[in-house]
Amino acid sequence: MAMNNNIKNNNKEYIIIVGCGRIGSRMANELSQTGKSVVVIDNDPNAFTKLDESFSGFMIEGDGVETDVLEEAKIKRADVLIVSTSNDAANMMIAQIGKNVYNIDQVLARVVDPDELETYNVLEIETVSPTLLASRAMVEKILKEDN
Amino acid sequence: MKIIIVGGGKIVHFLTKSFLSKGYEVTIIHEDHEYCKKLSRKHPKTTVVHGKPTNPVILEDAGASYSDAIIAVTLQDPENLIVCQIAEKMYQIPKTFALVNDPKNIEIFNKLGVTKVISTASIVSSMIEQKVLLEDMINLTPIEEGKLALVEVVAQSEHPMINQTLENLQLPENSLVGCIIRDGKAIIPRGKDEILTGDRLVVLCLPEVQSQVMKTLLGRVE
Amino acid sequence: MKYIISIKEKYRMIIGYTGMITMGLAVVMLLPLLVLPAYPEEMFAARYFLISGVLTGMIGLLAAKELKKERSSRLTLQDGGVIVVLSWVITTTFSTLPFLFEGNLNFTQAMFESVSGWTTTGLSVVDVTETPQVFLLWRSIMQFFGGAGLSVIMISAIIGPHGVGFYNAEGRTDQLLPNVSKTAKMIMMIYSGYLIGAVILYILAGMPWFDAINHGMAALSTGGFSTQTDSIGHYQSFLIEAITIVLMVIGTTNFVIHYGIISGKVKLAMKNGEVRFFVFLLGIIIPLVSVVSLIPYYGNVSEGLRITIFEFVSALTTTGFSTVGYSDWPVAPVFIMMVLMLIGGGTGSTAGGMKLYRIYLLSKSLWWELVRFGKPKNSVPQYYVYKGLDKLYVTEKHLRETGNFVVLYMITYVIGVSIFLFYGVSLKDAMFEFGSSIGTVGLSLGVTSPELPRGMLWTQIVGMMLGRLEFLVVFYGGITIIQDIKRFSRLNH
Repeated sequence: MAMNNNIKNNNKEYIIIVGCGRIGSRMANELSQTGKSVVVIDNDPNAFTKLDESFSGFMIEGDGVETDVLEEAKIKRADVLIVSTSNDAANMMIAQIGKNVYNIDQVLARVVDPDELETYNVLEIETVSPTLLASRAMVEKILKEDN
Repeated sequence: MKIIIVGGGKIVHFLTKSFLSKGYEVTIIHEDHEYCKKLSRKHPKTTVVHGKPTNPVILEDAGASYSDAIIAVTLQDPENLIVCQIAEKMYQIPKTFALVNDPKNIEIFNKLGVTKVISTASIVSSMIEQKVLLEDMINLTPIEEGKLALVEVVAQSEHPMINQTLENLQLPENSLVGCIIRDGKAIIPRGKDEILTGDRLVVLCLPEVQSQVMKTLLGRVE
Repeated sequence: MKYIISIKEKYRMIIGYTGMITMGLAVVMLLPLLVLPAYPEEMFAARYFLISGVLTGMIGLLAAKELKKERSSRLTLQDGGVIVVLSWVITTTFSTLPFLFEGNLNFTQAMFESVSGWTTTGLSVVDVTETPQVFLLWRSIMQFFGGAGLSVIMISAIIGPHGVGFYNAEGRTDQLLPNVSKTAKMIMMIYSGYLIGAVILYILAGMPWFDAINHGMAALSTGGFSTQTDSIGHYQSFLIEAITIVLMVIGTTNFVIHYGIISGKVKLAMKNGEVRFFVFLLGIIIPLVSVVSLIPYYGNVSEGLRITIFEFVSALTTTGFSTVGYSDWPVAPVFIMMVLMLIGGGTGSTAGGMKLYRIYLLSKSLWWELVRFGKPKNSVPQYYVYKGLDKLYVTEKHLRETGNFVVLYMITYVIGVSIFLFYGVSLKDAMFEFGSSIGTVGLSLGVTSPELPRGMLWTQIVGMMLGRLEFLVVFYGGITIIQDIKRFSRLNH
């Protein structure tokens, strides 16, 4: 997807992404291309190989659940926190730390297991569920072609 | 009293035994089916529920709506946090306890609404710092995250405390012999009471002065 | 024929970016005109800059138009390599235009001066007493921008975050901030800030304002061009020398360290391997050389020490300012200065040479090997150094790459020195002068002059370029271009 420069530069300049999986790394690549400051955290150093050559943000090897690691990423400066690990409980905890302890403006969490969605909602965490989005999109396509 | 325990390993085993002996009703939740079977065999008097403990459906199934306490002792701090939060927010379980591995999470958990937090690392390290000699001191019970030490000491003949009155002993500030158990009877001691061989003393003190207290009572600290 | 299309696309993009850089060069070429109000008599000389600037700008515009045809403008490291080679060749070549129009220099000489400027070397074939002020300023401007690096200038001003491949290819690997365009802008801010400070300090110390601007640029860029024939020695001022020493040290320091100090992480900055190695080297060498050699030579402590400190700092930082000549110095200090020139300054700074980090790393590696004999056979040590503001755990790959670089450098050095020797230069002069070229230092024993045979000037030009661009990018950029040309022509039959 080509990034166009029509995206308004709102104040979301410093973005921390926890989890450099397929989703996290793509987000990091795109955001870095638009000139935002991006810091990616992942426990596995090999995960960073998923980042583009053109990624110019910082990479931190560590567990995003630990405050030390978040502080190393300068979480106090963050405007946006995206949590995209493969563990829902960790996503919930980190998202809450970001929102309630560090008062980050925008906190987004990725839902791994759609069954956990209710828990995320009870904890008032803003979510995106790739599984739900994908399945909905496919169902729409199927139903559309029906007509 | 109905208690839900979430987690696995030896700690769950001993907690369960202890609670059952006090007559409580225990339900255990664990994610691994094989392990659930093992638990079920070991503790036939408990209910073992198989499923993800952070899932409200499972919690409900395990009777969260009418439980008095839930104890989360998995090896993952985030799991423990979420279990307690859901239990409290959705099922209003009165008492939630979470185990943390990372002492820094004590503050985080508190900020996120889970107040009763036990940190294994803190307890172990403070025990080591206090240089505990285990022969003479039994049942070291950490209270309030290690802020108070509760120690049971058996008075032997070679201890300096033998035949001394509590007054004479001059225990340091912030310490107190709360109870003496003698021949099966519990005595709440006063200054003039003497310590006799065979007495079991229940000592309360702040962790900072524990070494000093033990030195005064037992004569040495290893 | 997909390969042909993609080659066309790729080179359109590369030419497009190079065009943008050329346009940037055109703007820079017009900068010396700013000084006209103060030197109105220079109007005639200024013409040359105007013509050169316009010409360069037009060519740049033509090339830059190619970029609009190419939508996806993400630069890979490989593309970056090609752009580095192309843009450096174009920049240095076009920068000869003012000199050529003026007519005093032939192409070889103009190229020499231009390359010496952009690579922040500082060797010169120009007689500064007979050169118009605008040209002197142009030399300093070339050094100032060359020190920052074309990538930094372009990314901060024009290209933006797409340019990270260019940034890495030009040899910058450390980032100050989590986005390359922010990093580039920060570098320019820090650099310009230091320049303003430098100019003010020089003026307060009694230097005329024009000299202050020129020397400020030349010092911070560790370039070494001077408006005076005897360089800093002309002023005979302890204060000016002291200020220059400070500026030279600033110039040789990695921008990451500067940023670290500015943002309060002073202790961490002081742990940096290069910082410590720099202090260590000079801490031993300056006392040694001054006591054994230069104090006896000059006859008194204060002069000997002052000169030793200045010259050796100038050598190690690869600046190239001097306060005295050393053609009749004893050989020992000359040799040691030459070694320091080859060692060079800090990575991520404006300095040249092999870089402190590489020599430091290899020395540490040697030390660890020795220490290993005393450890248990099955122990698993993890060796680290402080690079920038981070701990870097050293791997075999790091050591191998560093080792290869040093070998390549020394091979080139030997070839260059041999060429000089074939021309009849003495061993001492050849080793020193070529060392000064490849290390982009600028100190001279007098060999470099306008009358030097063309072959020797070109040897130095090549040495300066390879040294500044650190070889590899030149090689793989060049190889990529050649490969692409071969494949394209083969497929196009």
